[in-house]
Amino acid sequence: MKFRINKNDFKIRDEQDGTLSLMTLSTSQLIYLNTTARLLIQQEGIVDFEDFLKQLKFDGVEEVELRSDYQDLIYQLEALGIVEIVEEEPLTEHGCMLVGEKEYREVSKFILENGNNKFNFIDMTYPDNYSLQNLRARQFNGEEFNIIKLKDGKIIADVIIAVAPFNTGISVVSFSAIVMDKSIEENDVENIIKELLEYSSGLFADKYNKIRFYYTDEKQDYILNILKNIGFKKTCTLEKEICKNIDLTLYDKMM
Amino acid sequence: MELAFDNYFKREYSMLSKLTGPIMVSLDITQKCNLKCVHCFNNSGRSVPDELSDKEIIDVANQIAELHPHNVCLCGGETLCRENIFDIIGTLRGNVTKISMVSNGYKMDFETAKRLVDSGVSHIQISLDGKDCYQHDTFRGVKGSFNRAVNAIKNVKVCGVNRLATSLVPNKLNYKTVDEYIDLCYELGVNDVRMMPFLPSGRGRSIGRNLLLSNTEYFYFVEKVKSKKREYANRMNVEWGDPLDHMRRMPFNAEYGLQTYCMEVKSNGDITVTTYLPIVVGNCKKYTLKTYWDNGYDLIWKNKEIVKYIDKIQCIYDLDDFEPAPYSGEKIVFDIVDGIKP
Repeated sequence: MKFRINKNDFKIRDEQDGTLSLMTLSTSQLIYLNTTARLLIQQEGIVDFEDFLKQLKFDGVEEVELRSDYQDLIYQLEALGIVEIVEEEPLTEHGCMLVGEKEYREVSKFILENGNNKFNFIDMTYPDNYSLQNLRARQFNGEEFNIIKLKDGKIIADVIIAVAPFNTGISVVSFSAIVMDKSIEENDVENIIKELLEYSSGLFADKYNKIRFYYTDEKQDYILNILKNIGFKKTCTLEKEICKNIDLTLYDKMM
Repeated sequence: MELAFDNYFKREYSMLSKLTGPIMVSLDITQKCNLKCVHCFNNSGRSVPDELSDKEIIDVANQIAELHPHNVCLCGGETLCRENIFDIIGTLRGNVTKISMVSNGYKMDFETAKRLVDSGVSHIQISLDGKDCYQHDTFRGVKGSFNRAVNAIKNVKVCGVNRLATSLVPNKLNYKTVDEYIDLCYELGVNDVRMMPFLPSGRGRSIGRNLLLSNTEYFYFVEKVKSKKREYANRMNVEWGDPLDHMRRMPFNAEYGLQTYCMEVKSNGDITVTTYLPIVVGNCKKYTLKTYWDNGYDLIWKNKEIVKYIDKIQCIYDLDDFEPAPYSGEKIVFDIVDGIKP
C-alpha cells in the first residue's frame, strides 16, 4: 500500500504527554491522536507502508500488532480525508482469490460456459444451480464458497467449497465442484487443482482440518487419479447410497 | 412436480392474496440527520426541499392508519430530528398493530426514550457501528456519537421497550472485532443484532467506499458472525441479512398472486417499491395510500415495467451502476393510478 498525507487539510496542536489534537479544515472534525499517529502524519510525499513500518521500533510491541494498528489508523484518517491511499494492494491478475459480490456474474458465466468441459468435477444436470442468483445466495448464507484461479485477469478455474451450516463443530469442508476453462492443457490440471485447494485450505484452516469430496462411479476416473496424486485417500464407501444402487465413496485429505 | 409445488404454494399462502393492505409500511419521516455517516446509503443530512410539512405528514399517518398494517417502521434520516414525531406516533397508535423506529440514539436521552415507549413504540433499533468510540465515531462522523448510542440503548432498555435491536454495517474499521461487538450488545441487553453488507450507494458510493471490505475480509467477518450466532442461540438473535433478498423474493411471490408485503413512503410523500432504488410509483399528496394499494401497488412486484429495473440488481455492486444513481436526486417516476410511465 502507498499513501500520502494531505498536509493542507488539517491543523494539529500539541497536547499533554505527547498527544495531539487534529482538526480537519474542510469538515471541522476534531480527533485526538497519540504519539504513534504523529509519526504517521509527519510523513512527506508518497509513502510505502512497508518501508514506513520498517523504520519503527516500539519495545514490547509485535510487528503484527504494529501493522494492524497503523493500517487501522490509515483507514480512519482516510475516512476523514487526511490520508489519500495512492496504491492499494493490487487485485491479483494471476493466482487464486475468493469470489465476492463483484465476481458472481463472471463466475456464473464461467461455470455455465465451461461446465461440460473434459477436466471437470461437477454435476451439470441442473445448470440453474449455478445461476448468479443461486451462487450468490449460497455464498451469502455461508453455505458454499467459490475460489477462482485467474490468469491475465481471466478466470481459468473455479472450485466450490461447501461448509456445514452454523459452525456445528464439524471439522470437514467438502468441495462440490471443480470447473476448468476449455483452454486448459491436460498437463496443467493437477497443478491448478492443487493451487486452488491449497488456497482454500488457507481460508478454512482456522476451524477445519479436513477437506473431502464425494465420488460415485458416474464420475470420470481421470479427476479421481489427479486428486489421489494430490493426497486424497479413500475413507470409506457407502454402498447403494444414491438412487438405491449407486455407491458413494468418501475421499479425504488433511489440510 | 412443478404443478404440485404451484398448488401447494397457492393453497398454503392463499390468505396472502386477499390482503386489504400491506403487512408493513416503512415511512421516512425526515431526511434530516444530525450525524455524517460515511456509509449513508440514502445521503441523509439536510431535509429534502419538498419534505412533507407537519400537517402533511399527519395526513400520511392517517392514510397509513386507514390500511391498518401490522407494523409501521419510522425511518429517516434521523427520526428524532422530526419535531412532531410524537404527533405521528399518536396518530398511528391504536390503528396499527406495532410501531417500530430506527434511530442513531444521539438525541435519545432518558426522557425521550420513556416518552417513545409510553407512546406505544414497541421496537427500537439503534445504529451502533462498532465496539468503541474509535470505530463508531469515525464511521458516523461525529465525536461522542458512540457514547450517545450506548446511552440510548441503556435508556430504552430501562424503559422496558418490547424489542431492542442494534444495527451494524461491517467496514474496515470494525470487522475484525465483530465478536467483541456482539458480546457488547449482549451485555447491553439487546434482543436483535442486525448486520448487512455495506452498500455502495449514497455516500457509501463516494466518501465511504474506501472502507468497503474485500472478499476475504467479508469471509472472516461472516465466519465470526456465524460462530456468535450459534453461541447466542435462544438468547439473542444475530442476523446477517441480504439487502437484495426482497428483490428476488417479492417478484417470485407475486407470480403466485401473493400481495406486496411492505409499502415504502419517503419523506416527501413519494411511494417507492424498494428503499434502495429510485423507482417512484406515486405520491401520497396526490392519492391516498389505499388508492395506490387498490390500483396496483398490491401486486407491484408483478408489474413488468417496474420489475425490469429491479432485475438489473443481481448483486450489491449493481447498485453502483444503476442509473439514475440512487439518492442522487434523480428518479424513475411512474404513477400507477394515473397510468403514467417514465
